[in-house]
Parts: sequence; C-alpha cells; structure tokens
Amino acid sequence: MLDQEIYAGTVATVGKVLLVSPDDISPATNLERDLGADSMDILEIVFRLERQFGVDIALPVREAASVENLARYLHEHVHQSALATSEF
Amino acid sequence: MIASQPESSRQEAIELKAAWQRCRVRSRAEIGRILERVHFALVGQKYSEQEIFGVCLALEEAMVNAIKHGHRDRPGKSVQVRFHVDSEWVRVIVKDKGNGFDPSKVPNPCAVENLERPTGRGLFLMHAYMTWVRHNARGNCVAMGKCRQEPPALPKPFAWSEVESPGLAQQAPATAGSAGQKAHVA
Repeated sequence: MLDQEIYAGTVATVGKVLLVSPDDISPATNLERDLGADSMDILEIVFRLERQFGVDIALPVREAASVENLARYLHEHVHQSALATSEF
Repeated sequence: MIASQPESSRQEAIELKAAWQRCRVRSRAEIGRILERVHFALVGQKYSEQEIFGVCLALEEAMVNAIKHGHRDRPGKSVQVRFHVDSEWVRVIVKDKGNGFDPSKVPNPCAVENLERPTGRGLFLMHAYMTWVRHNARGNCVAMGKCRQEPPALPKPFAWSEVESPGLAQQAPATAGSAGQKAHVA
C-alpha cells in the first residue's frame, strides 16, 4: 500500500514542475508517456523530491517514471533512513 | 489541465516554470555567451566570487562535454541548457542529442594510472564544485545544483585591551598561546 503522505507529496511536486493538476495524476501515470516530461523535467522532479524527502533517488528509478514507482521508492528509502538514524 | 489547481499553487507553478532560463548552444564559440548570462544572474543574487567561479566552471565543462563527446563537434546539433538562480540554489541542466555515456565508467582522474590522461576531468570538476549532480539513465542529460553557502561569521572586533595589558601580564605568567598571539600581532 502506498504511503498517502509521500504519494501526495510526490503528486504535488510532479504537478508543480509539469504544470499539471494533481487531479489529473494517478498512481499509474507515467511522467514521460502521459505527462510529456522530458529528461530535463524528470531531473528537476528528482531534485525536488530528493530535497523534500532527504533521499537519493537511484538511476533506474529516475527512468521508471511512474508516479507509483517514485512514491514506493521514496517510501522504502525514507523508512530505511529513519531506521538507520534510530539505530544510533 | 492546470485549471483545476488551486489559484495559489497554479500561480506558483507558472512562476516556477517561467523562472527557468532556456538557451541553446551549437558550438564551443557560443559557450561564453551562456556563461555570461549565468554569471550575470549569479552576481544579481549576490553569490560569492568563489561560488560563481565554481558554477561557471562546472557548466562550461558540461557544455564542452555535450558538444565534444555528445555531438562530436558537429555544429548542426544544438545542446539545450536551462538554468535557474534564486537566493538559495543555482541549478543548471545540460542536454545533448548524443548517445550518452555511463558516468560510473569514467576513470577516476585522480588515480595514479590516469594522471596523464587528457580526458575525464570534466565530470570530476562538476562533482567537486557543485553540491548536487545527477545524470539521466541514457547519460545525455546532466543536472547540477549548487547550494549557496552561509556567509562566514564576522571576526570578533579587534580590541587593543586584549593584546597588551602590562597589568594582566604581571598577574598571570605568559602561556604559549598568549605569546603566540602577541607575536602574531607584532
């Protein structure tokens, strides 16, 4: 299941960078195919999401490019980094 | 599609899009023109000379790489450049129409066996001078960001009373630290 907070943050960022309403974005929305994003737009989204969630987005995920893939990756890595921090 | 967004976030998104400056470069001779524009924007936001030097160097390397390796110096193709400067971040994105490359396979120019190789330093310099560097999977687009440094704290105001005070010198024997401080002032 998708973390709703992370999903909403991802949708807001994608919408802001690509000038698309969040209402027109679903988990299956593909950034390139459905929203017309090019590689420059995607790297801009990556920059914003990395700052927003404090996570480095790995290279294959940058091209996987569905909103659900991005949100899932962020969910896993935000939680991993939170676990690593709590171990100290 | 944007019409159903709340007015404030819609306006913010439009301003964000407009804040990016877009240009194209076809040959190495045109690189200076882009660097001048970026330099002007950085000066306008009062970035330090050191930061401006680093950003311009990294951007120049990215554009040279795109023209030289991505387009093999063919002037018919253009490299896309976008940049955005605000009070916290400078961001640049450079994209060519070449086949791209795998940045992880570029040899480390600092390794002893590569010291005499004439290539591979551009990527190293980009990572050295910028805060954030990312490529797309194909390797024909690089995005870089430089976070503005906090200005250094101002030094403590100088006061003679802390340097030469015969009264204090009589009260306490001179330590190595205070002797060094006096020598420095002299």
